[in-house]
Amino acid sequence: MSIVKLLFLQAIAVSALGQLTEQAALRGVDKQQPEPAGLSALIGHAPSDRAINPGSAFDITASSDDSTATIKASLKQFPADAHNIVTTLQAVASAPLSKSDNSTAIATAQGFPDSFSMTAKYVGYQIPLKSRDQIVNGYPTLKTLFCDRAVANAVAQGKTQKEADDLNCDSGTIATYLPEELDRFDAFFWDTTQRDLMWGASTTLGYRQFNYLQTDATKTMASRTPWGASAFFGIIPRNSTTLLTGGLDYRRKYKDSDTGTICPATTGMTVQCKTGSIGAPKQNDQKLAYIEIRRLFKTTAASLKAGYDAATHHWSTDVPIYVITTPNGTLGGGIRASWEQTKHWQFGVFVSSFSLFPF
Amino acid sequence: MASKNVKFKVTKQNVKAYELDVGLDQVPMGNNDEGTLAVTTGKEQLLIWRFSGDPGGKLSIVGSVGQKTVVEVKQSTIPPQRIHAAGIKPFTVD
Repeated sequence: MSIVKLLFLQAIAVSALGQLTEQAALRGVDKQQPEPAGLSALIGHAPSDRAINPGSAFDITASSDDSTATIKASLKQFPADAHNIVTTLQAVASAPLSKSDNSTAIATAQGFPDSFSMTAKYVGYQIPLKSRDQIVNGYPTLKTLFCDRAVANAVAQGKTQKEADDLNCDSGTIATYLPEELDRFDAFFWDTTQRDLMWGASTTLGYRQFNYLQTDATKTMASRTPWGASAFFGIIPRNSTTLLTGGLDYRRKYKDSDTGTICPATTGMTVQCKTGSIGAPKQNDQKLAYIEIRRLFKTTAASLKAGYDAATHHWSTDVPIYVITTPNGTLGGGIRASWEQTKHWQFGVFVSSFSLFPF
Repeated sequence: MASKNVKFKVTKQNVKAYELDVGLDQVPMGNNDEGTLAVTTGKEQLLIWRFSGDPGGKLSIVGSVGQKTVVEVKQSTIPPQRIHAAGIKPFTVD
């Protein structure tokens, strides 16, 4: 059911995204239409596309407004240091799979989807670990109180003795066979009075070439180097599945000038007109501040992100709600509502995996 | 006391961070999710694992001396509505 539902949603998404692209194209005709700078930079397609999102391995992101191929290489420091901090350094290279005149109209919060770009990222994550000596000293109690009882319950629920003995003595087994004791079991390993803290920063340097028409209808090419920097801080309060994040994001981007047709002054009987972007690419600075709340519920998840662009003085917000579960049990898509000061509410569907973590 | 180098290999899925310990000692894991620790022979040791990630995140561990597996943790999973998981397993290196 889930696969069919997901495919169905994907089809709807592709259809809806196609319409959005069409709308974007129509917007391009209206030369007076202001670019949605505030919203575009703040809103990604889903939490996993937003802000600093290292992930790993080879990743392809596709959407109505951008299609980028991304290669990420990560260097993680395991285990945690003396302060229980795990750090990740990451280099990301990405390039657009397709680049159209409309692709600059709406950007994602992940960087420069219409340019080749290189990104360096740093993420720190402080985990509330309990000291090892407390665990080692508490092991006899832990075994009696939890592990042995979980094995007994597993046998009572139909497992053979060997199958039960082979179970890990871990959170997963306790959650299954002794769920009422999961909090106490976890308290042996984690400092449950503490929260999870995470922070990070990134810098991105891009490269993009533009073709445009000069006023005398001659074709010209120019290159620009968009760049940006961002930082975030996040907290998952103790015993919760809610993430609170705040961040800053600065970007210098470039976009094609408005398109039009130019006909050179004629000296003979025929006139050869040319159509394309007229004039040099336009610079578009974004100074963004945002807050985000992600919450994982029992079978759904939601994320509210609100931001302010100090360059355009525009507010915007975005609320993806995850309702589709993939066959492997993760949340894989849902519906989405977005608002920005200049365009007001928009609604759609999306396909993207959910993660509570912003990295 | 005699000791042998135990090589630990971790396989993980949807895990943001993890730590392995043998008793009071951390296993120094590398970026390839492998790490080696000298473990005293003939004495019961405790392998402790802790990891963070989204619910459903999975972690498996194999500890071996040469070709011989001395401890194995088969797929430890983060329970629903949790972001942490942990476990403990005694083992002995001959």
